[in-house]
Amino acid sequence: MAGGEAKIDALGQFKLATVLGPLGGSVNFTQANLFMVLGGLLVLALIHYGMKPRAVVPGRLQALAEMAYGFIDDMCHEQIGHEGRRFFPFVFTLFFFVLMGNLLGLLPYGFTYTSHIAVTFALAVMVIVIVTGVAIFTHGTTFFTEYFFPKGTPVALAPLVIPIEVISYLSRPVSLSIRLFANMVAGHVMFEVFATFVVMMAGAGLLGTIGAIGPMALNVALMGFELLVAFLQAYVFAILTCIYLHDAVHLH
Amino acid sequence: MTDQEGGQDGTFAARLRAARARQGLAGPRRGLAGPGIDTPGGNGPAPDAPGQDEPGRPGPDQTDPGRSIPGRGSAVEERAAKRPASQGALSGTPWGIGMRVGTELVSAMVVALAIGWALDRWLGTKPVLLAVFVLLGGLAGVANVWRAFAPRR
Repeated sequence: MAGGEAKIDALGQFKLATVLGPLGGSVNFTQANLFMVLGGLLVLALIHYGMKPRAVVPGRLQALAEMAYGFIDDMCHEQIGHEGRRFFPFVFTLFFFVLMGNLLGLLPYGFTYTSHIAVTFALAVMVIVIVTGVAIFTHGTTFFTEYFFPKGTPVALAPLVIPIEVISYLSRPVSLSIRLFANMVAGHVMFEVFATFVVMMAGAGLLGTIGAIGPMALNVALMGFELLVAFLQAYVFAILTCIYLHDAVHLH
Repeated sequence: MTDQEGGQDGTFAARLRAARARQGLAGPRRGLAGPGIDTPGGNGPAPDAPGQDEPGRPGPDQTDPGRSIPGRGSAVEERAAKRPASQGALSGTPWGIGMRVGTELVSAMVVALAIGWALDRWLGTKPVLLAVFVLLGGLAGVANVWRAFAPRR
């Protein structure tokens, strides 16, 4: 970098490394794990310390905690219906886990654990397993016939409809995980690329230093956009979970 | 309040409106606030309550960020925005819709490819089932997209 020959290494930021010295190294405790723990603790702290005052007129932190609760509560109610309350803890946890991953990744030295397909796919598979479990639990085996071969479909179409429905059902976790993962990776790659531009141009003399303001400004704007994406993707993840739960509870 | 203060008042009004929207209270046009709150100064750029303005207004409704933070001002806006349109659950920016459609198509195809490949490997019918499942995957992708954007029953 010193010679102005900065290389664009857009994907290096996603590399995992163990943290906490030899102790972390012996159990492969990576930054991703660290930030997962951190995110979980932050949400716990928000709820715990936010709700400590139990004031009638909430302070800022309490208002935030109440809004967080109300937001997910509304979402469950809206999307799933009356039975939605049962799934509130699940959706709440999911939403804030994803949100924390997205947001902590935007901090300097932060790590976006949601930028790893392993994480998002594990989350999505968990969602789909739970949704299927709920469907089987509430409807028994009629769920399969009802869902994969809806009433009123001509029997002649069965060999076509059933595979399509099965594929469509199984593609849910894939699309769910790819969406989150791709959004996060794309955002952070853009950050890295523009930031490298700044370094490269600054290494190219006075004119370059002046020109470096461009990508710098772009990165600032991008940060705002990424904040939006961080919220939006967590929201999308949560609301799609709700929609799937709705389908499971009501069978369409 | 003089006209000069109108701009300042606008941001406060916007915040007040957003706060009331969050609590599920009425929109700006009803009740307590009266006309003073809705001075023209504060309405346009206020990012807090995008969906709250009347639908005829082209301005804030058109802006992408406002429209695409549906969770921001809580469910009230959501409801207001969703009911009349009665669309699928996810409507949003053109970019968001495009991404959604893309991932639905691709993921259906990925799953179909995986199933076809695995079945071929298992049954020893090398290319046949893969070809069949590619077609089915395309169909399933279209079905996914339809399900995502069809009006809700």
